[in-house]
Amino acid sequence: MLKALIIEDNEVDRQLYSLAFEKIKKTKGIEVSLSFITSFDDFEEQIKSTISPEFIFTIVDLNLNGMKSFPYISQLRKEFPDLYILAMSSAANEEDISSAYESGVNDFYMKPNSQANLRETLVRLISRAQNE
Amino acid sequence: MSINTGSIIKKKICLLGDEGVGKTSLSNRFGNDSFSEEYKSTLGVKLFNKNIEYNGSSVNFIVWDLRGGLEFYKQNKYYYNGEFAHIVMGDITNPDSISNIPLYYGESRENYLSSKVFLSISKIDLPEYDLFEEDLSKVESSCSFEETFKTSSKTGQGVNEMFNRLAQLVIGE
Repeated sequence: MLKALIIEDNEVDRQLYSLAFEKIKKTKGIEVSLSFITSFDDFEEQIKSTISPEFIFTIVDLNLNGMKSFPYISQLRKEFPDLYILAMSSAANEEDISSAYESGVNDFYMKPNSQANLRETLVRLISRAQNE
Repeated sequence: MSINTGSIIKKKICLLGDEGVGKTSLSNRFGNDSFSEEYKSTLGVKLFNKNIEYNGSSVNFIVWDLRGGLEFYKQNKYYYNGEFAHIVMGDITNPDSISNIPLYYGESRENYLSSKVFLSISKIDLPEYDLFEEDLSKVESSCSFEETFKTSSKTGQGVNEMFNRLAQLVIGE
């Protein structure tokens, strides 16, 4: 089974990710076990205790509890150089997207406006992360 | 013509077109002067940034390399905002990508009418070049592109010429 980490403070968004991966399992037969990090408190400790070599990707929100994610993405990249990191945000400008790439993300995506769009993106993400 | 001296004029450019037409390759050739044979589809957006000096002025182009496919643009309209230009791309070796060009042109006009629209026909270094010249002529006549550039991100042909022309238009604004 594939494993992935979602770094997201919004409970509704976390539920949407879970629902999307459940549907992907049913329709595509691809099973992904999700772990969640919901704050940057003791972040180094959290990622070390959560992420194992089987993790193929991380989705990270660009803002968690009012804090920008960039330094934490850099930390994640430093600790896990081969992990595929997708940044997502519902309100990112050009500066945010540039900063995300400078921090070490592999790709950036505006949060999709529909579950179908989210699922389609996640299927692409799985394929992309597996082929990296 | 307005000449802006001593400051940098920043302009956003969006690339539109089918998947695999070479948007990321064009961005890499422009932004990093590099090329890779390896194909990796873009999930969302990648940004490429480069200054072009033109007539004593400096233009900073930020190229938004968006994922390909018309459906993506229709569902992700928030990527559009304040572009100076859209570059619609078609792959000379892929007739479907050429026949889809008017759809991307329409998408551009629908979302940000004030941007200029260029057409880039990519991969002209490949031997299939010339196969679809007739189709291309039909497409060009059905849209009002500012200009058409035939480009090869592999050899660099036409890439700098296209962005220099864009810089010329910026300076001439």
